[in-house]
Amino acid sequence: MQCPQCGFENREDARFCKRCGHVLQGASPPVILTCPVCGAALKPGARFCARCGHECTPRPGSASPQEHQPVQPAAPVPVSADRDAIRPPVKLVGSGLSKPANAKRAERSIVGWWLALVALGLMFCLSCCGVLALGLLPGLNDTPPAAILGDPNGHDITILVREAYLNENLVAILPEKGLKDASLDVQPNNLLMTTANFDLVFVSLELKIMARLSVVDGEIVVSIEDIVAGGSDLMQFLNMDEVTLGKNFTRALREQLENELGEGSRLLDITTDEEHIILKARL
Amino acid sequence: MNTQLKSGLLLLGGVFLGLVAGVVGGWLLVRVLDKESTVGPLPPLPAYDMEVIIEETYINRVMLESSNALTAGNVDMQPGGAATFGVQLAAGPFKPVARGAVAFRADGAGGMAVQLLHVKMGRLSLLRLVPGSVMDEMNDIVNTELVGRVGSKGLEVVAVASDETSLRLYLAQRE
Repeated sequence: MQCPQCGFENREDARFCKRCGHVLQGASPPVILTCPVCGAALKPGARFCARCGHECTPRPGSASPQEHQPVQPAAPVPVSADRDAIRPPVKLVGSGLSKPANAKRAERSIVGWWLALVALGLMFCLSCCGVLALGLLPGLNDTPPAAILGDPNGHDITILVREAYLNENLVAILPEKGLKDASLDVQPNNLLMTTANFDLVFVSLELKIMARLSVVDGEIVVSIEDIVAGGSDLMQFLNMDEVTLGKNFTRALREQLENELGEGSRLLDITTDEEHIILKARL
Repeated sequence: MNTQLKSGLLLLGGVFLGLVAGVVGGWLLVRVLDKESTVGPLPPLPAYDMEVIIEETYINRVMLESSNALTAGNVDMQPGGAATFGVQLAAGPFKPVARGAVAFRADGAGGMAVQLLHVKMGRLSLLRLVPGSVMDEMNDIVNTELVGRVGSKGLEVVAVASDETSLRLYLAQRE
């Protein structure tokens, strides 16, 4: 193409005269690319907008920049903080880019990522469960230890009632009238020796009760072996005879021991040592 | 790169990463679950009025009768207020066996407290997975069936001990 100003012969596609710089008529106008989001002018070959960061890369197969039509840069728009939310699809101004092809490609890519994520999640759960199952597996093949249930007629519990505890409650099972002090001595061979001192008006008298414990048909039996009442004066003072005293003592002691056993228990045996009454029962 | 090839590689990567992460996660979970409780030694025996010796055989009977979820099992008393146990659970088609240890102590309020020290099914520790309500229920059963059935109303548990074959409760009159 010849320059109309200086006559220099330029290349056919030259836009300016190589010698004088005059604009050559008929040359293809410069392509001005703009960002579809903010409207800022893009340099040729730029992949991202320098102002808003929007990706403006032309896809392979899209029209060459030479095919773009010149346009005036659009008025700049304010950049929103939520740019991604308003980001429109990639668009080259004046290009003949195929929009559905790009969208399909993007969709395929998203689906691929989703599939990978789902596979990751599934495999995570499966292998996590697998590790736990491996830990549990020996427990599923384990044999439980055989329960030791013992003799069906044997005792379940043994209760050792201390002599001191019986002494604390002794006053409750003796006549209150004139009672000064009392003590219960547990002896071997199921014997109980109870000694009580009564203060009479002019004289102190001592009451001794020797009792024997046994079990008959699951019931505690307290048998009075001997009562030494310090003569008839004490019985007159207590207003009772030896039989009544023995019965009262027996009933009260038996009730106390049965209380310790609890309801529904079956007494199997009763013994004594130097310090305890020992009850054996099945619950 | 071919889109299909890329998707395939992504999928494969996801599977592999999931596998690795799952194995690591499972191992970490096993480590996190691995827990054992400890209890201090038994305190010195205080003054008491009555000693109740409960046989291991009775504890076994109570345990098996207390829950339909247990098909078999045994409690083995140990010295120092402790016991080991092995129980078979009825869990649908499976019959897993759990093994563990418990400690018995006086709860300070007149009753007895049972504390689970460890429980395992296979190599997996389940102590962290045992809900508090199960332990509460176990304590209720123990206090009803063991403590509640002996001693008159005015007595409370002040100490607990055990030997190879029995559990010992020490009761004293309430002040």
